[in-house]
Amino acid sequence: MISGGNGQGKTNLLEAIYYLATFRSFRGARDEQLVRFGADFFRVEGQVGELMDAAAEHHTLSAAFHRVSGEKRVTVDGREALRLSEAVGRLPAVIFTGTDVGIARGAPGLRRRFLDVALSLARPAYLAALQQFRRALTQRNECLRRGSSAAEVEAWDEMLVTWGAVIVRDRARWVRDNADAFARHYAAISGSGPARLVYVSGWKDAGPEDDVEEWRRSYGAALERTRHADRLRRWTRVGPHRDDLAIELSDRTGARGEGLDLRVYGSGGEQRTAALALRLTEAEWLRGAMGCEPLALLDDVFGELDRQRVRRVLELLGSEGRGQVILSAAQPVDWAAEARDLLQVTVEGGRLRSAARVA
Amino acid sequence: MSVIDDLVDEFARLPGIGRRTALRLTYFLLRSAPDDARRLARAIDAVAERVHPCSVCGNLTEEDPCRICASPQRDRSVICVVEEPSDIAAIEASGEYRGVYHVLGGRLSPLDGIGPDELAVTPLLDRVREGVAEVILATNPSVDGEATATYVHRVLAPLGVRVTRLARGLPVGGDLEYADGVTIAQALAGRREM
Ligand SMILES: [Zn+2]
Repeated sequence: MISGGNGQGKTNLLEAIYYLATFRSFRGARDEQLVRFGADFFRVEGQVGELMDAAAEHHTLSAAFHRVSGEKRVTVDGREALRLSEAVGRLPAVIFTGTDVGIARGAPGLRRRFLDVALSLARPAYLAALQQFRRALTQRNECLRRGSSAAEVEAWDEMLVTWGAVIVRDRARWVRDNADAFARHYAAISGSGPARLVYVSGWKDAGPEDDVEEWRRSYGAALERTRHADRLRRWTRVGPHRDDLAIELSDRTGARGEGLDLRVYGSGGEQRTAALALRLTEAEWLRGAMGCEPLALLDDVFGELDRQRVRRVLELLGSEGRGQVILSAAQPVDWAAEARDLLQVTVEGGRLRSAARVA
Repeated sequence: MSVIDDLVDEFARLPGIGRRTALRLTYFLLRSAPDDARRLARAIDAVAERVHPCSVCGNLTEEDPCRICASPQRDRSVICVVEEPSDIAAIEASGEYRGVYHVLGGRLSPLDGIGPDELAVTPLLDRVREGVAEVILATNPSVDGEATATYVHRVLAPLGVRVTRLARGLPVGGDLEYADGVTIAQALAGRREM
């Protein structure tokens, strides 16, 4: 339990810890923005594993970024990782933040990033596919921007389709496999009507999620259809970079019997609940996929949430896992009831001040 | 700027050499016998002076055409297309290939301003028109290398030549240069039609 006033460094600390999970800022900040003002570099190091059990395997992770050279060095047990996918996911972690409601309320890009981070943590192959896909996409878009020949543009299509199909297959499967968990968490937090997760591909109706060949075929056909429009608009309009993770309120239906879109029709409270349920689903999935308890980081979420939701979240984290929880808040006193048996740390001016256990 | 700084800068421009290593190399040379440094300088000078691209295939060579293009032992009806001259060395090391080569001089990368005009694609078409039975595309299995293969395949298609691609089995995103001979031999044996 880390407490301290605004600007004292609570979020920085959690950001540093989470950096060792994804090697990126959870706020979406660029690496150079993470270097302290006036400094040339930053470095984070952490020990990961069942540290209470001396016999259990544990790893030392480190990440360093140099502002001038723009060089980033990631090491696992002192050895430099040649690819990020070797190091991502060594620290299974899930972060709850005060801005998470944006996942439920905001632009599709935030929901895609949610899926990409969750999948990358547990599946190095997903992260590799994502990197290959992004490379092909930027190259193709650059051709379109320059008005290059059709042959030059279409040279990138095979790679786009190959890696794009892997990405949507994994995302659609994740949504299918975790829909029940999400509905369960949503109901547990809100105590009200059900909500449903749906993967929305811009070119194909859902199912069969597992068939990567079918995704390849349909994505290839979609690129074919949008070829002309892509050339006119000068960018690639269809693909996993345009898909969405929809959240439907399944007890309220629209004119055609479809569940209403939570982003449009949900109340602020329902959107907060959905964001929390997504994070809890992520934590549960990481636990299953990686066979260990993810570290749960809760960054100042409690200003956003009412006391009842907070209590439910802590109960869910506490009842389903025995993993480590690190939370930050402006006021430690508010926490006495919910946060029992927590190590209390205050942070002031970037320094950790005191530690005491609350009875 | 001292001459020492100049040398450090030159070393630091080499691939895989950071500032710290460049300093170590420079001070190593300063500590060694002057003849050692001069011998290195002469070797560098000699390659700069005498090594040129082969006018047929683009391989780096002291003779023109290169030894592979000039050899009566090589099968001129099969052309293996690679990105860089260093890829030729890797494939030759496998000892499995008896055809000739064509160096593109890179791979497509619009982000770096490299399009087909920056690569030796037209000279390849000219060679194929002179009569070739098979073109093997051996660009790297990276995203850019695969796209380059797709592009070359497409411009070769109207010429009716058989086009094959090295089989995967090479590490994804990996460089041909670092693949071992066995992997390359397997990839050659398992090449697929495009
Ligand atoms: Zn030659």
